[in-house]
Amino acid sequence: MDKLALIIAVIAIVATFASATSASVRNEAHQQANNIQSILKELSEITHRQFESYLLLEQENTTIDHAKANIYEATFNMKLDLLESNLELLVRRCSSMFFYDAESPEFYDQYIGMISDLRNQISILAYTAKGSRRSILVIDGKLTALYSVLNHYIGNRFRPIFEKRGDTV
Amino acid sequence: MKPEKVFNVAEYTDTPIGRNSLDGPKNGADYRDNFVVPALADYQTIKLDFSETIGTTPSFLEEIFGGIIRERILSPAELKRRVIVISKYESVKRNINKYIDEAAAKLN
Repeated sequence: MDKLALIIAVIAIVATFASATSASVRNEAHQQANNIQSILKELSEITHRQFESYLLLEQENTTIDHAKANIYEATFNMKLDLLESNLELLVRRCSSMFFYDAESPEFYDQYIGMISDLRNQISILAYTAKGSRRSILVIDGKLTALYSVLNHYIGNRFRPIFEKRGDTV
Repeated sequence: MKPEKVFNVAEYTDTPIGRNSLDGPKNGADYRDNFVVPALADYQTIKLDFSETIGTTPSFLEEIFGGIIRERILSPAELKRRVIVISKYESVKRNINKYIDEAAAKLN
Protein backbone atom coordinates (compact mmCIF):
# COMPACT_ATOMS: atom_id res chain seq x y z
CA MET A 1 0.00 0.00 0.00
CA ASP A 2 2.85 2.32 0.93
CA LYS A 3 4.59 1.52 -2.34
CA LEU A 4 1.46 2.29 -4.33
CA ALA A 5 1.09 5.66 -2.59
CA LEU A 6 4.72 6.44 -3.31
CA ILE A 7 4.35 5.58 -7.01
CA ILE A 8 1.21 7.74 -7.29
CA ALA A 9 2.99 10.62 -5.56
CA VAL A 10 5.99 10.41 -7.91
CA ILE A 11 3.71 10.26 -10.97
CA ALA A 12 1.79 13.31 -9.69
CA ILE A 13 5.01 15.27 -9.16
CA VAL A 14 6.34 14.40 -12.61
CA ALA A 15 3.00 15.27 -14.25
CA THR A 16 2.84 18.62 -12.42
CA PHE A 17 6.40 19.45 -13.44
CA ALA A 18 5.79 18.48 -17.07
CA SER A 19 2.57 20.46 -17.21
CA ALA A 20 4.16 23.59 -15.69
CA THR A 21 7.16 23.37 -18.03
CA SER A 22 4.93 22.88 -21.05
CA ALA A 23 2.77 25.88 -20.11
CA SER A 24 5.85 28.03 -19.56
CA VAL A 25 7.31 27.11 -22.96
CA ARG A 26 3.98 27.66 -24.68
CA ASN A 27 3.48 31.08 -23.05
CA GLU A 28 6.97 32.28 -23.88
CA ALA A 29 6.77 30.99 -27.44
CA HIS A 30 3.46 32.77 -27.95
CA GLN A 31 4.97 35.95 -26.50
CA GLN A 32 7.84 35.78 -29.01
CA ALA A 33 5.41 35.01 -31.83
CA ASN A 34 3.36 38.08 -30.81
CA ASN A 35 6.53 40.18 -30.83
CA ILE A 36 7.39 38.97 -34.33
CA GLN A 37 3.85 39.70 -35.54
CA SER A 38 4.06 43.24 -34.10
CA ILE A 39 7.35 43.85 -35.93
CA LEU A 40 5.86 42.56 -39.19
CA LYS A 41 2.94 44.98 -38.75
CA GLU A 42 5.36 47.88 -38.14
CA LEU A 43 7.34 46.91 -41.24
CA SER A 44 4.17 47.01 -43.31
CA GLU A 45 3.26 50.43 -41.90
CA ILE A 46 6.65 52.03 -42.60
CA THR A 47 6.63 50.50 -46.08
CA HIS A 48 3.22 51.97 -46.89
CA ARG A 49 4.33 55.39 -45.62
CA GLN A 50 7.53 55.26 -47.67
CA PHE A 51 6.08 54.11 -50.96
CA GLU A 52 2.96 56.27 -50.72
CA SER A 53 5.33 59.25 -50.59
CA TYR A 54 7.04 57.80 -53.71
CA LEU A 55 3.68 57.74 -55.51
CA LEU A 56 3.63 61.53 -55.41
CA LEU A 57 7.18 61.67 -56.78
CA GLU A 58 6.20 59.26 -59.54
CA GLN A 59 3.26 61.48 -60.53
CA GLU A 60 5.46 64.57 -60.51
CA ASN A 61 8.22 62.66 -62.33
CA THR A 62 10.84 63.74 -59.78
CA THR A 63 13.65 61.69 -58.30
CA ILE A 64 13.73 60.19 -54.83
CA ASP A 65 15.45 61.76 -51.86
CA HIS A 66 18.46 59.48 -51.22
CA ALA A 67 18.65 60.44 -47.55
CA LYS A 68 15.04 59.34 -47.01
CA ALA A 69 15.66 56.09 -48.89
CA ASN A 70 18.77 55.45 -46.74
CA ILE A 71 16.79 55.99 -43.56
CA TYR A 72 13.98 53.72 -44.71
CA GLU A 73 16.43 50.95 -45.67
CA ALA A 74 18.28 51.30 -42.36
CA THR A 75 15.10 51.39 -40.27
CA PHE A 76 13.65 48.38 -42.06
CA ASN A 77 16.87 46.41 -41.55
CA MET A 78 17.10 47.33 -37.87
CA LYS A 79 13.59 46.03 -37.37
CA LEU A 80 14.56 42.85 -39.19
CA ASP A 81 17.51 42.53 -36.76
CA LEU A 82 15.04 42.70 -33.91
CA LEU A 83 12.76 40.20 -35.62
CA GLU A 84 15.68 37.82 -36.09
CA SER A 85 16.62 38.01 -32.42
CA ASN A 86 13.00 37.26 -31.45
CA LEU A 87 13.06 34.36 -33.89
CA GLU A 88 16.16 32.93 -32.20
CA LEU A 89 14.49 33.13 -28.79
CA LEU A 90 11.36 31.47 -30.14
CA VAL A 91 13.19 28.59 -31.81
CA ARG A 92 15.59 28.07 -28.92
CA ARG A 93 12.67 27.80 -26.51
CA CYS A 94 10.62 25.55 -28.74
CA SER A 95 13.56 23.26 -29.48
CA SER A 96 14.23 22.58 -25.82
CA MET A 97 10.88 20.94 -25.13
CA PHE A 98 9.66 17.37 -25.40
CA PHE A 99 6.20 16.12 -26.57
CA TYR A 100 6.31 17.35 -30.14
CA ASP A 101 8.95 18.73 -32.46
CA ALA A 102 7.70 20.91 -35.30
CA GLU A 103 10.96 20.65 -37.24
CA SER A 104 12.47 23.71 -35.62
CA PRO A 105 15.82 23.66 -37.49
CA GLU A 106 13.98 23.52 -40.84
CA PHE A 107 11.68 26.34 -39.79
CA TYR A 108 14.62 28.46 -38.61
CA ASP A 109 16.51 27.87 -41.85
CA GLN A 110 13.48 28.73 -43.98
CA TYR A 111 12.70 31.86 -41.95
CA ILE A 112 16.27 33.15 -42.08
CA GLY A 113 16.21 32.64 -45.84
CA MET A 114 13.01 34.70 -46.08
CA ILE A 115 14.51 37.48 -43.93
CA SER A 116 17.64 37.52 -46.12
CA ASP A 117 15.48 37.85 -49.21
CA LEU A 118 13.47 40.68 -47.66
CA ARG A 119 16.66 42.58 -46.75
CA ASN A 120 17.76 42.40 -50.39
CA GLN A 121 14.39 43.35 -51.84
CA ILE A 122 14.25 46.46 -49.66
CA SER A 123 17.72 47.57 -50.69
CA ILE A 124 16.58 47.46 -54.34
CA LEU A 125 13.05 48.87 -54.05
CA ALA A 126 13.93 51.68 -51.61
CA TYR A 127 15.94 53.49 -54.25
CA THR A 128 13.40 53.70 -57.04
CA ALA A 129 10.17 55.66 -57.24
CA LYS A 130 9.02 53.67 -60.26
CA GLY A 131 6.27 51.12 -59.68
CA SER A 132 5.61 52.16 -56.09
CA ARG A 133 2.27 50.37 -55.94
CA ARG A 134 3.94 47.16 -57.04
CA SER A 135 6.70 47.69 -54.45
CA ILE A 136 4.08 47.91 -51.69
CA LEU A 137 2.49 44.68 -52.93
CA VAL A 138 5.84 42.87 -53.16
CA ILE A 139 6.86 43.80 -49.62
CA ASP A 140 3.41 43.15 -48.17
CA GLY A 141 3.39 39.79 -49.94
CA LYS A 142 6.71 38.84 -48.37
CA LEU A 143 5.57 40.03 -44.93
CA THR A 144 2.37 37.98 -45.31
CA ALA A 145 4.48 34.91 -46.11
CA LEU A 146 6.48 35.52 -42.91
CA TYR A 147 3.20 35.71 -40.92
CA SER A 148 1.92 32.57 -42.55
CA VAL A 149 5.04 30.44 -42.03
CA LEU A 150 5.22 31.56 -38.39
CA ASN A 151 1.55 30.64 -37.82
CA HIS A 152 2.11 27.24 -39.42
CA TYR A 153 5.11 26.57 -37.19
CA ILE A 154 3.38 27.67 -33.98
CA GLY A 155 0.31 25.66 -34.97
CA ASN A 156 2.37 22.51 -35.47
CA ARG A 157 4.60 23.05 -32.47
CA PHE A 158 1.74 23.30 -29.99
CA ARG A 159 -0.66 20.91 -31.65
CA PRO A 160 -1.85 18.30 -29.12
CA ILE A 161 0.15 15.12 -29.62
CA PHE A 162 -2.95 13.06 -30.43
CA GLU A 163 -3.86 15.29 -33.40
CA LYS A 164 -2.60 14.50 -36.89
CA ARG A 165 -0.53 17.16 -38.59
CA GLY A 166 -2.09 18.90 -41.56
CA ASP A 167 0.66 17.84 -43.91
CA THR A 168 0.50 14.15 -42.95
CA VAL A 169 -3.26 13.65 -43.39
CA MET B 1 51.97 39.28 -45.36
CA LYS B 2 50.54 39.50 -41.85
CA PRO B 3 47.91 36.95 -40.85
CA GLU B 4 44.82 38.89 -39.81
CA LYS B 5 43.29 42.30 -39.18
CA VAL B 6 39.95 42.97 -37.48
CA PHE B 7 38.15 46.17 -38.47
CA ASN B 8 35.62 47.50 -36.02
CA VAL B 9 33.26 49.07 -38.57
CA ALA B 10 31.71 51.28 -35.85
CA GLU B 11 35.00 53.19 -35.73
CA TYR B 12 34.33 54.24 -39.34
CA THR B 13 30.60 54.86 -38.88
CA ASP B 14 28.10 53.68 -36.29
CA THR B 15 25.42 53.60 -39.01
CA PRO B 16 26.73 51.74 -42.09
CA ILE B 17 24.27 53.06 -44.65
CA GLY B 18 24.58 53.76 -48.35
CA ARG B 19 26.33 52.53 -51.41
CA ASN B 20 28.33 55.50 -52.72
CA SER B 21 28.89 59.25 -52.35
CA LEU B 22 25.28 59.93 -53.45
CA ASP B 23 24.31 58.48 -50.06
CA GLY B 24 26.70 60.60 -48.03
CA PRO B 25 30.41 60.76 -47.18
CA LYS B 26 30.45 57.47 -45.24
CA ASN B 27 29.39 54.70 -47.61
CA GLY B 28 30.21 51.19 -48.78
CA ALA B 29 32.35 52.22 -51.75
CA ASP B 30 34.44 54.56 -49.61
CA TYR B 31 34.95 51.90 -46.95
CA ARG B 32 35.88 49.32 -49.59
CA ASP B 33 38.36 51.58 -51.40
CA ASN B 34 40.00 53.23 -48.39
CA PHE B 35 40.01 50.49 -45.75
CA VAL B 36 39.26 46.98 -47.07
CA VAL B 37 41.18 46.97 -50.37
CA PRO B 38 44.38 48.57 -48.95
CA ALA B 39 44.35 46.06 -46.07
CA LEU B 40 44.11 43.15 -48.52
CA ALA B 41 47.63 43.99 -49.66
CA ASP B 42 48.99 43.54 -46.14
CA TYR B 43 46.82 40.89 -44.47
CA GLN B 44 45.84 37.35 -45.40
CA THR B 45 42.46 37.61 -43.68
CA ILE B 46 40.32 40.64 -42.88
CA LYS B 47 37.42 40.53 -40.47
CA LEU B 48 34.76 43.23 -40.68
CA ASP B 49 33.13 43.42 -37.28
CA PHE B 50 29.62 44.93 -37.30
CA SER B 51 28.92 44.04 -33.64
CA GLU B 52 29.00 47.64 -32.47
CA THR B 53 27.19 49.31 -35.36
CA ILE B 54 23.55 50.36 -35.23
CA GLY B 55 22.37 47.75 -37.70
CA THR B 56 23.76 47.34 -41.17
CA THR B 57 22.27 47.71 -44.63
CA PRO B 58 22.48 45.45 -47.68
CA SER B 59 23.47 48.37 -49.92
CA PHE B 60 26.56 49.10 -47.78
CA LEU B 61 27.57 45.43 -47.68
CA GLU B 62 26.81 44.76 -51.34
CA GLU B 63 28.96 47.68 -52.39
CA ILE B 64 31.92 46.28 -50.42
CA PHE B 65 31.64 42.65 -51.51
CA GLY B 66 30.00 43.01 -54.91
CA GLY B 67 32.32 45.94 -55.62
CA ILE B 68 35.47 43.91 -54.96
CA ILE B 69 34.23 41.37 -57.52
CA ARG B 70 33.15 44.02 -60.05
CA GLU B 71 36.53 45.73 -59.74
CA ARG B 72 38.19 42.30 -60.19
CA ILE B 73 40.29 42.79 -57.06
CA LEU B 74 39.76 39.22 -55.83
CA SER B 75 38.10 36.11 -57.22
CA PRO B 76 34.85 34.98 -55.52
CA ALA B 77 36.61 32.07 -53.80
CA GLU B 78 39.45 34.30 -52.56
CA LEU B 79 37.03 36.93 -51.31
CA LYS B 80 34.96 34.37 -49.37
CA ARG B 81 38.16 33.02 -47.83
CA ARG B 82 39.91 36.30 -47.06
CA VAL B 83 37.17 38.74 -46.00
CA ILE B 84 34.89 37.62 -43.18
CA VAL B 85 31.92 39.46 -41.72
CA ILE B 86 31.25 39.30 -37.99
CA SER B 87 27.53 39.88 -37.36
CA LYS B 88 25.02 38.63 -34.83
CA TYR B 89 22.54 38.03 -37.63
CA GLU B 90 22.62 34.89 -39.70
CA SER B 91 20.54 36.43 -42.49
CA VAL B 92 23.14 39.21 -42.90
CA LYS B 93 26.01 36.70 -43.12
CA ARG B 94 24.11 34.54 -45.60
CA ASN B 95 23.57 37.50 -47.90
CA ILE B 96 27.31 38.15 -48.24
CA ASN B 97 27.80 34.99 -50.32
CA LYS B 98 24.81 36.00 -52.41
CA TYR B 99 26.31 39.43 -53.19
CA ILE B 100 29.58 37.80 -54.21
CA ASP B 101 27.94 35.13 -56.37
CA GLU B 102 25.55 37.57 -58.06
CA ALA B 103 28.32 40.05 -58.86
CA ALA B 104 30.47 37.23 -60.25
CA ALA B 105 27.58 35.93 -62.38
CA LYS B 106 27.10 39.38 -63.91
CA LEU B 107 30.77 39.55 -64.84
CA ASN B 108 30.65 36.24 -66.72
